[in-house]
Amino acid sequence: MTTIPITTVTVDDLRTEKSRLEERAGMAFEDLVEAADQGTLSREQVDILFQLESVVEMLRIEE
Amino acid sequence: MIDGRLYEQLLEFAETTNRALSTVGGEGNHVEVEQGSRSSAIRTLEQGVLLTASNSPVLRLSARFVGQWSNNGEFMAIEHSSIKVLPVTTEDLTAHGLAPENKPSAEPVVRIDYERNPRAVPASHINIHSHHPWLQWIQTLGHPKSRSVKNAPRTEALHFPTGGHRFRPSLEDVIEALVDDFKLDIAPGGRATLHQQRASFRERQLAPAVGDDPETAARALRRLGYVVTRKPYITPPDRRGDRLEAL
Repeated sequence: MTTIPITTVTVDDLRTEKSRLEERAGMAFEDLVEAADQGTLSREQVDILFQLESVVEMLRIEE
Repeated sequence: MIDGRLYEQLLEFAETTNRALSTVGGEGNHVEVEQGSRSSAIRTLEQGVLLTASNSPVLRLSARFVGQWSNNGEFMAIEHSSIKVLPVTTEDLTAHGLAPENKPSAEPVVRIDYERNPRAVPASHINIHSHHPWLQWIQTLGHPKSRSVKNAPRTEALHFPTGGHRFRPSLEDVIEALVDDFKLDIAPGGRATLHQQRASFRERQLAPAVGDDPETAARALRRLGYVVTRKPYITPPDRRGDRLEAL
């Protein structure tokens, strides 16, 4: 049986994670979304955006 | 900090998600979980799960589920979910001794999304990434069009509905469809796991679907021979027309 770790996060943690992912992608979240619509993202950016979307969705609920 | 019961729900959901992914991704931990004061996120690790056929890399699968605790703190409702099927990466190919002539595309193949409070798109929908010349022709016509059609001929701009709030596809549905179409490698007993978990998902969805329209549910049960009556001191629940009629 695999044990799934659950990380408790605060709003500040989520903001930090958002910034870290945006820095790795080299673009702000909104710009990544726009570039995704235009199909101009690299594969790494596509994967980062997918992670980032969940962080942004959590932030919208938590804030 | 959430209470023990919600924590158990979250853990069970994470384990169920991981079990489904393990049927095609192999044993191990494929997801990470974050828990806030009002929400939680379960998502695959960054590159998603590698899917193989005859031990060769074929596709990658990413999934994420963001939930919010209900107002009464009794359960977690999914606010957003997204399941994405992607090409493999260059690293996947080289790791398997395959040398691609062309770098794999970064564009997803298909995306299946759910939004509990959607704006301008069906709550549960699928976006298929492709190009169709006929859509390009439609664009040239002068009649009014939705923003999505204006963005065609890329079909991913179109949001095809997939069952509304209650009858949307599960992760298990997507995985098994991929296994069938691409003849993916699947663990021994993997199909049984997917079937069992799909049944559980549909049972979980059925209860709130009954709550959306209890009178229809009661009539259906009476036709099956059940005696269904509402206790006289219970106020009849409102029919959830918003849920039943929502795209």
